[in-house]
Amino acid sequence: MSRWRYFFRRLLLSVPVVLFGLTITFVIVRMGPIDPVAAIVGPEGGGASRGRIEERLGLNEPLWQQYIDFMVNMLTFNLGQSWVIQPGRSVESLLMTYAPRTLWLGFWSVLIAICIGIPLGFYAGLNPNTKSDYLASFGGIVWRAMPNFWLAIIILAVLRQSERFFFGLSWQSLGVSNNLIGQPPLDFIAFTDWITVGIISIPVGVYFSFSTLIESIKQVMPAAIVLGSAAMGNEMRIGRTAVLETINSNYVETAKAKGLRDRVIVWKHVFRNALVPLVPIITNEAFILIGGSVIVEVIFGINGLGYLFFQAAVQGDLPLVGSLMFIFIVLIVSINILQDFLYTVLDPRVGYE
Amino acid sequence: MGHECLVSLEMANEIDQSRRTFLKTAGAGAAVATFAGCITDEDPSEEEGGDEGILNRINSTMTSLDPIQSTDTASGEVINQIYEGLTYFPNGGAEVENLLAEEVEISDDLLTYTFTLKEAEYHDGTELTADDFVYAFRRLAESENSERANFILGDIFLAIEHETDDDGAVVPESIGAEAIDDRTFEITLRSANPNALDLLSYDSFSAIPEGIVGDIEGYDGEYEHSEFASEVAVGTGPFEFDNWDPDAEAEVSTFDDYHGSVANIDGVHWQILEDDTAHFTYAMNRSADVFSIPTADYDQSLIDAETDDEGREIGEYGPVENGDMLDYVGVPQLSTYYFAFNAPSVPVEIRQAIAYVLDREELVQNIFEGRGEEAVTFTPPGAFPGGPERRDEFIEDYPYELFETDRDAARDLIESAGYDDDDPYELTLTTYESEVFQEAGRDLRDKLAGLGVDLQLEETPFATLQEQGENGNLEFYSLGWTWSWPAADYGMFGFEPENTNTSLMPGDASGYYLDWHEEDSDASAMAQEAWETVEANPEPEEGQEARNEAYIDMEQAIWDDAVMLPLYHEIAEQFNYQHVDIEPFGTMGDYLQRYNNVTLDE
Amino acid sequence: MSMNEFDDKTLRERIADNPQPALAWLAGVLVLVALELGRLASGLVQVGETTRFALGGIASVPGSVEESVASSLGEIAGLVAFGLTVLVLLGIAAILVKWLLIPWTLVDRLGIEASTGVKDIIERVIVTGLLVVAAALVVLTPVGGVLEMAVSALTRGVEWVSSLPTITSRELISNEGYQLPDGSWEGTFLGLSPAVAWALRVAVVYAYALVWLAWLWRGYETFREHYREADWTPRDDSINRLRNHYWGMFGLIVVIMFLVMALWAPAVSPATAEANLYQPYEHEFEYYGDDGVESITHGEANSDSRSQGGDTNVGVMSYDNHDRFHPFGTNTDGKDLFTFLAYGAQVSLVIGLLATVLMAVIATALALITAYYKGVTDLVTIVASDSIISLPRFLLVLLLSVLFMQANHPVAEIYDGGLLLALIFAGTGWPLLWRSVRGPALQVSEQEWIDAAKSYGQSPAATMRKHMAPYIAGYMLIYASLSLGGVIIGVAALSFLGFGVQAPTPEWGRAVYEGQSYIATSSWHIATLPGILVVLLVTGFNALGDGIRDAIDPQSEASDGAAGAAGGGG
Repeated sequence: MSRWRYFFRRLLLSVPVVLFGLTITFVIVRMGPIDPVAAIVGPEGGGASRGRIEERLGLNEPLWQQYIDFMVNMLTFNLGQSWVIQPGRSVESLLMTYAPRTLWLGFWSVLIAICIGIPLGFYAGLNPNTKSDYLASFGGIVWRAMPNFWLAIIILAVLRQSERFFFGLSWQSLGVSNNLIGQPPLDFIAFTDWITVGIISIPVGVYFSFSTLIESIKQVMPAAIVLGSAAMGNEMRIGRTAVLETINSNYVETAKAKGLRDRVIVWKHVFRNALVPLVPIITNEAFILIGGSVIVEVIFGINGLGYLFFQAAVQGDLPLVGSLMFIFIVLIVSINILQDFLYTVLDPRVGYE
Repeated sequence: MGHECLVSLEMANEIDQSRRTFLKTAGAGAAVATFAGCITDEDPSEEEGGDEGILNRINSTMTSLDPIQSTDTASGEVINQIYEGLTYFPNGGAEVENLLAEEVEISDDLLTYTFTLKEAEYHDGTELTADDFVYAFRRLAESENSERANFILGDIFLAIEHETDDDGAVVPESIGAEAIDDRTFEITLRSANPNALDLLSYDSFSAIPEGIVGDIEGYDGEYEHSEFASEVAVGTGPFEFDNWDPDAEAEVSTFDDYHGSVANIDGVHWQILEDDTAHFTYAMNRSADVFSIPTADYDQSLIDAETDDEGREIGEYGPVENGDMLDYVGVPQLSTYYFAFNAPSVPVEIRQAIAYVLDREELVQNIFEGRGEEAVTFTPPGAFPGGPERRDEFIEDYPYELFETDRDAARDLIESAGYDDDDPYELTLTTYESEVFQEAGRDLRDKLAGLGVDLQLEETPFATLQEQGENGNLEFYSLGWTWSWPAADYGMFGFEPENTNTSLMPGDASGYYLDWHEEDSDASAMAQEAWETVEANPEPEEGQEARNEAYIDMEQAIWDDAVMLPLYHEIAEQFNYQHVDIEPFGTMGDYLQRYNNVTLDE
Repeated sequence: MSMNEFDDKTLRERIADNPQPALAWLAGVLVLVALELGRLASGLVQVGETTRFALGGIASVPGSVEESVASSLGEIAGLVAFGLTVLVLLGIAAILVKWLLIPWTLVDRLGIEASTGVKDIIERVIVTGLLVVAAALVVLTPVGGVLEMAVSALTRGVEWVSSLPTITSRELISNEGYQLPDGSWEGTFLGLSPAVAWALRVAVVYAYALVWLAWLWRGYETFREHYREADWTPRDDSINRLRNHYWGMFGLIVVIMFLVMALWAPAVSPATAEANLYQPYEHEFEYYGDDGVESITHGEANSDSRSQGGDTNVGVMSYDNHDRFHPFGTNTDGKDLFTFLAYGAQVSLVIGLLATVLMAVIATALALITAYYKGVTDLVTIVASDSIISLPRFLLVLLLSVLFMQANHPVAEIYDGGLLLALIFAGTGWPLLWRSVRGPALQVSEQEWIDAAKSYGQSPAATMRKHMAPYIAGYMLIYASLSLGGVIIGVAALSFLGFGVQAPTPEWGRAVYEGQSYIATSSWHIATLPGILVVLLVTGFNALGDGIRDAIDPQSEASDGAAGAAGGGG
């Protein structure tokens, strides 16, 4: 099978996957016991308001009609409006508001995990069965075993009273002062001026505030560390194994025999090859970030997509839950395809099965 | 900022005076309540600059800035700074005063209200006219975005004159609201409502510029509704809308051409935080000036306060975690939180047994850290028919051991119903997501364990609770009721047994989810009869006595059948750092408080 | 199992030839059992009750199916549906009965000639028929009554046995008592302080469990030395490797510690769950108050021992106002936190194991089937599993629990939602396990011996069971132990959000939730300690998984994808 046919088949296979995922979402939310109308009206609403709202939301139509409408709307990327969380506001605009927070959090949690996990893993792999290897390996495993919700609470408690734990060094006033809880400020960069060339707008004026950026990073850091904790542990373990395997492989032996210096061997041969098995591990983290951000966002008060999803699910905001799920599904499916594709490109040994 | 501070204190006195005279004159047919605007000679923003003059608050998730669409107090708090109605409760106090109305004339049949409007300006510079009110009232009644149409149309609410078409929808332009001239606005009611002026203070009745949204017939609208609900807000209030970043923050700034007292501060900023720990951390960082303290971090013994003549506790609280002393205000609210039963699904013996084991004092003191007042009757003391003294007298006859757990009496009752520990009665208590109710539920479960009632606990979001209630699926549940104006009438309609019929909900019945009509008991009959007495005596003044007696009969019936177990009346508390000078709020809740008289002194 | 095949003698015969070592070992077992006979019996009663409850639940299925069908399609359809459901259930039961209880084939005994596939079906039909007859006898004739009487007599007997004293019983080493003004203790074991008495009891429990383990090991050695035909099997090497794998042994020890804690929860807890958690107002104890010795219910005492920060706190290793000792302090309701957590260990392990076993069974069955048949079966399974994987797992689990809990679905009430959670985690987790073992399963299916078995005329089911399943069992063990940690964290995370196991059943995540507001106060222990337990247990399972992997296949380095994805949710 050629590469392109494989790719095409993979795409084709993702169609039922997306449809099935959407159907599950519809069944769960709309046929469940959660009533969006009651969520809107509140305790003092009368029947008249209820009837009217049902009509407005189209809930008086037969269920199969609602199902078809839902599927068609989603698949044509007509994401609709929120019903309950912010009535009448379009899902796109909600996404524009909430998604950057989650992306910023996700970006840092991946970056921190990579920057700490991989070096530690490589270090442990280069010094196998030493005390520091054991310490790093054990630490990584325990770190990974910590439930996010618990780790988040503990980190918050420690930072809040950092003066007591770190000899008077207060986290809140360290560097830039900030709050422990809440959104990271994302307005450190903005485009102030646009010029339009034909139909394309090009930003020309750029506003950038370094101190806001620092503040923003500091704000998101504890949450990112918690969210990335599991990934960090994974990367460490895989990194360690990968280095161990490469060191024992033939070409490193050959290089040694050729009398290359250790430094060159390590940098030129070991690390480069050890990075390959880490690639899918890192792409796989997208799943973890999407699912795990609910709890981290709730505890750290970063009201991003995870928080939005949780609220929407509990309150029966169907368009919102459906749209979020749809976007998550599309995201995961495309990452999967991309990853498989990259794999076949990078490593010709992998079959197109 | 000492100068402004003085001005605002003088003003406070003035407001108090006018408040005392208001209702008296309102009853006589006309009301005049005005106060001089406080005109400061300096623009505070010029003097201070930056964020120094911003009042920082914490809020929870807001849903909408459209007054007719928002139903939550979080949005309400922001809306109240931006929009204004004809009347208001200053600082959330118990007595209503004129706001955009300069003068009210009430016709002798109590059906026509004629308002003379103040000269006021919107934030965009246009003048307020009576047409704006007609437009606003029509939107409330007719717009598909209105979540509170029943407030203007419903019989137990304002009951404004209107026509309906065959489907039961309001005919456009049929409501009894009319602009006589630019500054005279008139409404006509279907039936006399002694609380009409109180009701008009609700934020859904706020003035908005005519034609700003096109969601009713005859208007195209300057803005899309979604814009109006989240990005554009134009009112006559003391603060202009700046921005709202959903689930992050909201901000308003001082409106310099405000018709009343222009704010001393530059604006108000709300950080939106849902989590209790986050909330407290934020407050302890001194990031908020005025805030509340979650129960977990609250310590009753830190309060040093005295009761004022309105029953409010005013004083100091602290020192708190960061070493500061805080100003403290605690105000009993007109609200009742309760456990209630679906009468036909739970035998009366079981209900009474639960009443026996329930110890409100322990509940309020231990679980709620004393942040409430034990509720024995449904109606809070502040709204009790015949006054608080009458209530104290009445509760002496409480049939089920006031403030004590009597497990032996409960055991006897449960046994007489044919249940014991080996064959327990299975009962599910559904609470909404509130830590306090869950704790109370666990406590009740423990006390019933072994007596022959196996209490299962279930927690559910508010929306689901309501859905289950209307389907008659709630055996035993917790909910609360808040009075929108201080009168017994507002809570009691929901107890009329015929009105508790869940099979008619949500359309034709609007009571509590009790199904009390199915209970063939003396108490149920007594409650029905009492409600009929209430309906037979609608006159605001002359009928009061008869209605009061009927309400007390209903309270008695609730006790006898134990269909509802009132738990506590909330005490709302507000804490602020001492550089803030803010007037204590009142019994209607601090979300009604407007911040134009607040001063910051840093 | 497989070595028996090339041996003519059965194990029984070999023991009969040389009974001495076996008898010695058995004697030791009897002594150990006798020491804890009472607890064992009460455990049996519990298992019996659960089984009965489960059977009752299953037995009510046909009735409810009939009702729902009859209401929509009429009574005759209802009756038909009733009959069909009964047959399906009995058919499933027949497969189990056949596997567990009937070691020979009825078809061969009856001398029926047919191809293997048909034989299998006839076999099952016969067993189902027998079960139908048995069920009819029980339901319609007095035999049912007799059976009922026999069961209840048996239950009474076992219950009597369960009242016998045991060496780990609370009565023997009691930690409940009160302190006289002169400082001495009354009512506790040997007048020791409750703290020491409790510690002693815990020590006895662990010592007893340790002896059991040692004795089981000894039993294995006896078997290997005296009764096993082969001197060496590959399994010996695996076990030796595991024994020398420190990390794996650490995991094993941690897991055993928690298992013991869960199994002996009533013994290691300072108070019983019944008295302290479930019916606190029904149980009294004595303390030394202002007027000498007084008695008070646990409930009333609890309301005085709440841990809610500030001065209202009963911390770690301390006594409350009523002379009760709390090794882990109390929770926000004033209940003993150690008791809560020990019983919580039961809950977490039961849900975790149940979910993992279900997941593993589904994944193994599918892996075997897809590897054997390939083609369309494989494709359909790929689509199904990809669809489930492409939904963010934690969000899906969250949505499902919200749905079922709020619908008051009957499943949500069993074990206060525990069963529901196990089902949800199993339903959403199997694709990951299936993916992990699909490769090995495909590899086996390509082997020559599979073709040989096919051409020999062995039925597909038998081929999969006998020749393929053992090969992937090892992989399954590794991945299952790794994903178990993920389930435990997931359940705790759900409970933390309020959609997991409901009160009063103790659950670790709920303890963290209830204590989170107090983490920065003097009552920090409520949220901190359960979290540490989760970390320990999950680390233990991961380490054990690593150990087993290295023991079974020292060359492999299994990818952690499965466990990582599962663990990320919480």
